[in-house]
Amino acid sequence: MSTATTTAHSTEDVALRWFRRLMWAGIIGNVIVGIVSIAYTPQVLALAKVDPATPLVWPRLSAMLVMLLAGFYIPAAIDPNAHRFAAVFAVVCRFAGTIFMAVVGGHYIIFGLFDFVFGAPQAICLYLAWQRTNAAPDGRASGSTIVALLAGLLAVGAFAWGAFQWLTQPVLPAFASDEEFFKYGSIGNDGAGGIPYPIWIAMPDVCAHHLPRPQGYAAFGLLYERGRNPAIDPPIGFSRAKVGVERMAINCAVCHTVRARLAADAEPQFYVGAAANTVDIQGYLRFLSRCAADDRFTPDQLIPAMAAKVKLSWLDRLTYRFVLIPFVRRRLLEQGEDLAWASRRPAWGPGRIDPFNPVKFGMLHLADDETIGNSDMQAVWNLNAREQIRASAPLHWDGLNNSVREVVISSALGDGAVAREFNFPAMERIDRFLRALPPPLSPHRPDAAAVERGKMVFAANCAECHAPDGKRTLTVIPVAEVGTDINRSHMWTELARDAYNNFREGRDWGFKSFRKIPGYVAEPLGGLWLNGPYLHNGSVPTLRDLLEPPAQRPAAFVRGLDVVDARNGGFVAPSCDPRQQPAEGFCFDTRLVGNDNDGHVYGTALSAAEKGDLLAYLLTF
Amino acid sequence: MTDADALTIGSTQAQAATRRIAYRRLLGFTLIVQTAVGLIAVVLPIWLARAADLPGPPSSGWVQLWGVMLLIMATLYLPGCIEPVHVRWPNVVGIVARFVLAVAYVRLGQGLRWFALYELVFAVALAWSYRQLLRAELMSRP
Repeated sequence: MSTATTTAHSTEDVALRWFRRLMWAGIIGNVIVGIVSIAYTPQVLALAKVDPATPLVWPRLSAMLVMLLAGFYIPAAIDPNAHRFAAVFAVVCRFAGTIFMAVVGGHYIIFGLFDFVFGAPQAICLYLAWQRTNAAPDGRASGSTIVALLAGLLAVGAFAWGAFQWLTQPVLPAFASDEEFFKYGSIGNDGAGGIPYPIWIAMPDVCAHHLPRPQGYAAFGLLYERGRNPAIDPPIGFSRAKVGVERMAINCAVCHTVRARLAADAEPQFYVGAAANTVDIQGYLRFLSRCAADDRFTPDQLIPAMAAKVKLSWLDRLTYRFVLIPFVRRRLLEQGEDLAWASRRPAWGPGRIDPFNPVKFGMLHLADDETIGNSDMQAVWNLNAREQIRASAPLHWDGLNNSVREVVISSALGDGAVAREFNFPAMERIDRFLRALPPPLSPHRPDAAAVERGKMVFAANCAECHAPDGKRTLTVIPVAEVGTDINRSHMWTELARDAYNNFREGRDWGFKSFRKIPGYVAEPLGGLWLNGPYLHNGSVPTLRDLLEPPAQRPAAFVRGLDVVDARNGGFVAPSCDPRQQPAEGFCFDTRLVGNDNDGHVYGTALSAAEKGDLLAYLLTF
Repeated sequence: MTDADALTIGSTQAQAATRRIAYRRLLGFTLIVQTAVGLIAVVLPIWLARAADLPGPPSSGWVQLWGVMLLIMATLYLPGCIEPVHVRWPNVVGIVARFVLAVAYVRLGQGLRWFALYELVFAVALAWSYRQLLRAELMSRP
């Protein structure tokens, strides 16, 4: 026997020996995983991050099948030469499991990885062994070692990819109620836009000097329901989901849920779907980037503050110190830079947002065109009723889209959702919920006779644009006609329309309904009592003020208070001096560009008695 | 060897061949059914869960996982189906697995009790048929 042949045979032996060892390892692995999964099912499910299972017999059945499958592998483990079919089928089945789990995706990838860990080296060993067996008589291996090495590298890469997919799959909490889901559910922006939960809850402590008031995130008007601890619980409008680590990310409710008190000493009530009158989104975003830029945003400062609120293992501490805190800091600084353009415009203030310029300059990569899109947040209820009034009713203040589906999806994108984690079922759930969500009935009880008289005044002066059967209700009224501040309309350009309709980042989103109509939508009046301040830019504090000529409307008033004004309509909004911000709320200056309270002069020429009657009627909405 | 001896042995080999065909047909049928159920579980998990009244599967993922393991099991069974006499292990493990599955399905309850009945009936049938085959094979040898 030549030396080369001896070498070939010894290599064959080594490869076969390792194949058998790996087969036995796989069999033992299957049995151990099966037994542990049957004995500790809930713990294994939590560890694997797979869907919770009720009844638990389903995962236990799977565990038992894993053990039974191990039985079929035994002949190949004993003698792969004598049981070639069994050996090949064993490897093929490991790969079949891997591929299937990769296709199913989600956290089931972990089962695929388990099969892959055994299947890939088994396949390589089997290949090497049989290559050597079939080698040329001189024993040369025809480069099979190189092939095996490449396959090994490929396997390691594939495993790393699978592990990354598994680790970064969101673990989303389930909500039985649509309303709870709307308030706290994920819209698919957790991975791309979420801040690790321990860092998020520590930031108000570490950066307390950047808060307008020492109230944690409540200082930005974020809403905490009764029984929730503002120090550790998410406010309304924030989801807490696990993508690698637990993260906090905003959802639709942050701008579309309001807190209101019927009197200063009354218990606050929360109204889902309403415009978030107290929430200062810009203040919140600025706080995040200012905190990240602060010298105190370091592991030495943050980790003790985090550990005071959540349990951190030594591994957590290392990960946060060397990976997550530096990474989050960089991302928040980048976010601050991305929104730097907003500092050159009037502040949004509570209850307002520039919803589309961030999309234009960020997502759509359009140049800063110096436009100002500051707008009052809008109520999003009654979407079905809107469509009953007018098919394809325009949405957003300027009616820039008339498809509820597109508006829901584009809003999620604007909130930081990305294609790879986009949650379409969540979008459909929100769509269904908002379509059926009625506006809350007005709690005001004005004089019934005045209401009756006001109804007549309304019919003569307002119904054409605001009654459900008004011929112009839910149409876009030209800016030249309504006369309100033009900036919001100017903000949405033909360029932006085309860019959004052609937006294909990550996938084809199917947008086709973005359009440009210079004007503002005449809205129906459902939930009017919660919609103050009024006009698209929130520049008129109360309904009573709206019935006054523009020159007599308040030039500056406090926004962001939550006490309902039963006499004037809207929220209590005392006058203020913009040079001195009030202790509570935000002094809104109508003299700044984009904040003009001009226009919508309908009803301003009525007599005082007629205005009183009309106001009484409007207070019933 | 006399003519009578040759006739006796030949007749036994023919019996063994008949038993082999019978066993392979029976096993083939169960593997086809198993593959069909596995494929339906993988492709239409929700439909199967409803149609077969499966006990409250929490998500389609678990039904799919069950389906893919049925498919893998059927694949691993194939060597035993091709050479039932020389490759005995998969057949023995497969028959034991059917008894175990029958018990598990009874435990799961609801529509899976029909699966349990099916597994039990075919486990007994396969065990009897395989025993007959092995006996015939052994007796066919001089």
